[in-house]
Amino acid sequence: MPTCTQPKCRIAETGVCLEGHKQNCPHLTGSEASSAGAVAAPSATPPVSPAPEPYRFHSGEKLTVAEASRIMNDRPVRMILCAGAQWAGKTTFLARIGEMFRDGSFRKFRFAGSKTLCAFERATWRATLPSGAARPETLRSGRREADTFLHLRVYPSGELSSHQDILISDLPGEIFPEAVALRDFCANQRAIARADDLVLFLDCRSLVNMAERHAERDNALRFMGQVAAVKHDFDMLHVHIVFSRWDFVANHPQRQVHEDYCKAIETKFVERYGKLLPPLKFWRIAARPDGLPPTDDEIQSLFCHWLEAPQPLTEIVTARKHNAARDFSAFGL
Amino acid sequence: MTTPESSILLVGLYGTGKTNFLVGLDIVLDEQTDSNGLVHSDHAADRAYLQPLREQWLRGEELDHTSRQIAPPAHQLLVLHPASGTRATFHIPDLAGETFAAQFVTRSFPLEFVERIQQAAGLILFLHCDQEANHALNIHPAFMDPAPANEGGAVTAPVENHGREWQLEDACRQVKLVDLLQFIAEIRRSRPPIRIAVAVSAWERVDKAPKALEAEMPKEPVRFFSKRWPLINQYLQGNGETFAFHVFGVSARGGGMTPAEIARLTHFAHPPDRILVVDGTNRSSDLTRPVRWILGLLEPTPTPDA
Repeated sequence: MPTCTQPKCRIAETGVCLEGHKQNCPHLTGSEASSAGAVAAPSATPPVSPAPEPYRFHSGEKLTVAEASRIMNDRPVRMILCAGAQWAGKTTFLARIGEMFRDGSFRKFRFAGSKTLCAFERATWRATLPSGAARPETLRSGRREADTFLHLRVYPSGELSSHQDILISDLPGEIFPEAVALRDFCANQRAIARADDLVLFLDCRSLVNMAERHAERDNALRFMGQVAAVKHDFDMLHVHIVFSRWDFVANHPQRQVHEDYCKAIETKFVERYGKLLPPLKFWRIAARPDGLPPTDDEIQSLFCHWLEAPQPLTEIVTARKHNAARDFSAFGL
Repeated sequence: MTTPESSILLVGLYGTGKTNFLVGLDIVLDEQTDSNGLVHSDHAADRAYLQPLREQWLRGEELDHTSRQIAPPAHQLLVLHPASGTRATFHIPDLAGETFAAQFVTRSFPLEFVERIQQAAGLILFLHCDQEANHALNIHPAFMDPAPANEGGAVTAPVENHGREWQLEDACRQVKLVDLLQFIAEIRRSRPPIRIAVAVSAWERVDKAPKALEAEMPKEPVRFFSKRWPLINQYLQGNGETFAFHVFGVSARGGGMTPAEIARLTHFAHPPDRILVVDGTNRSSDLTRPVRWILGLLEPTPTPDA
């Protein structure tokens, strides 16, 4: 562990630099040099200077709260939260967005950058031929990925300098039951507190199963209830209800029965939240359907809706004081 | 505006034609026929790296790959624009493609490379016309071979093959290059835009491709780049405050590796004539055009209308 000549710096114990340097701190001394000096007599051979530390860049993986905070401190950001049960297709949906930017098929928006390209690549990997996977699939998000964020910077086609940043948090399905059951859990999720858009996934594979469909619907409604209880600006939240893996309904012999059930879910959400929120949006999406092309138009429309909806934060951003340590608070939280 | 001796870096992944470009450029600089073209400013005293490669190029042979492990003594290729007196330098040897791939994986640049990037007048970014920007998606699993039956022929449940774990090295080419460009953008923050000449190499293959393939393989470099490498194209377009770019189709070798092709290449009375550089409507053998564009000595030829 390196040591520091600054008396108050605790980098030797905590690994955190007093002045926030990532590297090249002028006060830093090598651990080997200091410990060797304390124990052994000075050697006659001249010290070999270590190779200079390289310049390090972002990891390319999902951003932590602190890293996301740094971006939000710099410029207005749209924050999206994707939530739903395990295997509901949240990560596949996000992977498909990355794939469409990579293959140039995204029509209304163009790619201007991302701090999390590796995370997008990881999400897509098992749907690629080089992975060797027998069938296209998506590695699901694990518990540790709660409150981590994908980043995209885009611009509308033809408006090269109108950059817009979005951060997307994918609430792992593994912890969705806790979010449904525990209000405190939701209160501690910073992505919920800060979200401008909530994309709530209902898995059509469960909805076409008579034994599971009521629980799927009930969990979605209960999660909305938890969000309403903990989110202080709930009335400004844009909510998108996604009937995901829609191919399970579209290919079902009793398709009409299941479509009617989805309609009934829509009605229930509108009855309960229609007057409290900006207009609810409903989507039917199959990001990686079996034997069918993905519903790319629907996915693109949903993405565009995030960026074309009013940006309520703009006034806060321009008026607030910059304080990197309290960025989430700086947005009124 | 460039400094009296601007440096230009060659950037690209493995097998994208950086060394062929450098050797072809060395030959064109010796035998420049365009009065507005670039020439050698000075021959470096030590040509231990370049000279054998030059001989290979003239014999039409495949060039030895630039090694990361055995670095020859560093020197420079100096070029001069006689009309304006502008000079530029290329560091030799060029960095191996694996070096750039390693930078993506380690998420770091050596400090010496950071300094080079900060001081560079421009980059030539190499892409090979045959290389895929993205990994192919497994969208038709029904067409895959079934798992082989066991020897006894007994029916067993199919074993789910989830493939191998993703490693950083597995990122597709386009993502690696965009991240490298993002690294460069971070280093050059608050500096004037850096010029990037995008060189799509082995362009003779695009040139000779059947017309039926034109939708997938446009014969105009700007359209080819936009179609085949959309993520990099969109990234560069959307970051005009950091990068200015222009696309060239480049065939620095001039042809393939078959015996017939090698015979054709060596039949040219004036060796540089085998080179092809396509820039909008302009076609020439002048491999200095991308360099001149970086140095602000060449107005890009407009792209023909579709």
